[in-house]
Amino acid sequence: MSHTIVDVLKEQLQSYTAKASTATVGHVIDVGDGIARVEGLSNVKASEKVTFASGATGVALNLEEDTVGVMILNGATIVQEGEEVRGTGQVMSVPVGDALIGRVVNPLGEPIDGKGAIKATDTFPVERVAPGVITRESVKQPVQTGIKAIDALIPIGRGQRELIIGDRQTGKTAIAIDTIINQKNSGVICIYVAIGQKASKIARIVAELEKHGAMQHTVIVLASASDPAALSFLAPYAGCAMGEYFMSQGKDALVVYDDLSKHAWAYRQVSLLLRRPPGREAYPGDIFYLHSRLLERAAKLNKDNGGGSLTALPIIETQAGDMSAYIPTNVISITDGQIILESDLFYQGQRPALNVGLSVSRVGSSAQRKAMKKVAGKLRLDMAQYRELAAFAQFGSDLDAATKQQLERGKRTAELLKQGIGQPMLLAEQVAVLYAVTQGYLDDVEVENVQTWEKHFTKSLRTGSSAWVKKIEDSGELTPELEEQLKTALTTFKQS
Amino acid sequence: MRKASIRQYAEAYLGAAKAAPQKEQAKIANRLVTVLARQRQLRLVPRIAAELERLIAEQGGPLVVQVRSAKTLTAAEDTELAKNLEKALDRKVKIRHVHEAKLLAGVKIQVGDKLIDNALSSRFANLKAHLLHT
Repeated sequence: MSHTIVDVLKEQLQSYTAKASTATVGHVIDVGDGIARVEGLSNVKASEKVTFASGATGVALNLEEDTVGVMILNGATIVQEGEEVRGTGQVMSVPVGDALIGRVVNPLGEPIDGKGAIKATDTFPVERVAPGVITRESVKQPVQTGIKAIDALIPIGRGQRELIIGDRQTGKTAIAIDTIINQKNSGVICIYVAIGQKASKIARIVAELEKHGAMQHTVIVLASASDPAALSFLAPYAGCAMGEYFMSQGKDALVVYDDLSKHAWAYRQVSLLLRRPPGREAYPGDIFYLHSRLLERAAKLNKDNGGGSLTALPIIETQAGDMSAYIPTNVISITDGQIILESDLFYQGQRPALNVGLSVSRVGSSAQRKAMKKVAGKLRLDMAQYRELAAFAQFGSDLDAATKQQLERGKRTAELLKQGIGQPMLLAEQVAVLYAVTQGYLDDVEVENVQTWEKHFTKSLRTGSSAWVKKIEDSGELTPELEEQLKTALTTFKQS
Repeated sequence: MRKASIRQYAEAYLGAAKAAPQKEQAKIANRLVTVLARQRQLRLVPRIAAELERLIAEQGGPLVVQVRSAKTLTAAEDTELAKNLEKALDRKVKIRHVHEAKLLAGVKIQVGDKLIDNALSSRFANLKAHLLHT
């Protein structure tokens, strides 16, 4: 260590020239709540990074007639009135690259996991214009979440933006984490951006990911609840920039923003402190643009541009199920569909607590694998009819046989869509069990035994090492021959 | 009454000062201070003064250059510096000296919000930042 210091000193001393540095400077007029008003800095640009004499850094956000409003990123407490501020001439940027994988960093790209410095080769600006029309192509490859209900009914494609929305404690983060765990062998690099989260929750998530060996393809960007609002505001853009790097390398990346409601709160705080006029719910006028410019950066690039993709899974927390509040409606309108989680369903034991009727994926179905598409069509119809009948059947008891049968199958389907946390399933397994329920192989299994049946059946698939399972998994197709083999497997399993 | 901006105060004062004879100058300055005190804007005085300097320079007056140095410059150094600055900026300059021992050595020359930094202390600070980063 001392050796390197001497080396650097030598290098510095050797390159010492009498040439003076020039800079644009200003002085802090007042400072408070993480915002500094600076006089001078006449040529500073919007979003330019500035440095304070005390060592703090900030971003120039408000350019006014005779002052500049600076959002202080780190060291808000050490900045003093009258202090010198220098413009850097550069926009805010973060380190990107493979060196970040497996690490926990703050929104400035500095490591906070105690595993030493990050030797990143490249930096990307945090604010970037989204890829244009010419460089994009439509979503066509799936992101397998490993969750039956989602992969079958609300499929997500690479480059899609799918909102996960629900009240607190409905399993929003769990869906995102399961999706990250399931990307282990898919080549998708995941970035989990925690905005205003408890550090304890992140420690738990890191432990969970490490347990499943999923940190090897994951970057965690953390702006914890005790960090200044400026960092919470920056976090999703920083995470997005890190994902964009992988997209630009032709790879596939997935970013989870957990959650954008807290991001909106942080931006509201910064905006009000900068004295920008408040609008609805005291959010500033550009709150829609705040999220739309972030989510627009998710894209599937065409072959000429490397063919990479950036999938976004924003999370929104609603208050008492109010989807029509300001921020939820904004983000719903920006994204390509939403996964709606409801606390009622959660307490009824339906986990994931997915509202299958209201959840949609606007573009994902074109990315769905053929085998899954084959079983999902029937499944969606069954579920819709079941919901209709279940509501109706509550009033009358004398039902005809066909209705009864439909209801019974619906109950089993709903039961089969339940899935525990941290138990992602392979495509072939999902296809097999969903095929079984839609084709009536489970009609004579008691509803309470459906999950046991599923457990044993998937176990038999895993241990049986049947060639057809691997074939479905690899090709993603359910050809008539494979279907026959699946049928035989189901019948023999039933007999045993 | 609506509070005026710093620039407006400076412009008004300069206009009044230019129109008045020499012996009235002190009175005008007094009046500005009274007005500011009445509007509870006295804290703006240093910024108004800075703006005045800028205005005077804009209107063809001498440009104020702040020179901060660790040691007091000798008379020869002073004239040399003024000559060079006038040549570089292509206009008349007025040098304001500030003695700042913490610079250790070298000078910081500031024109408006442009700073030429040749102080030893800044170089040490840069070296420190560089070492912390690597």
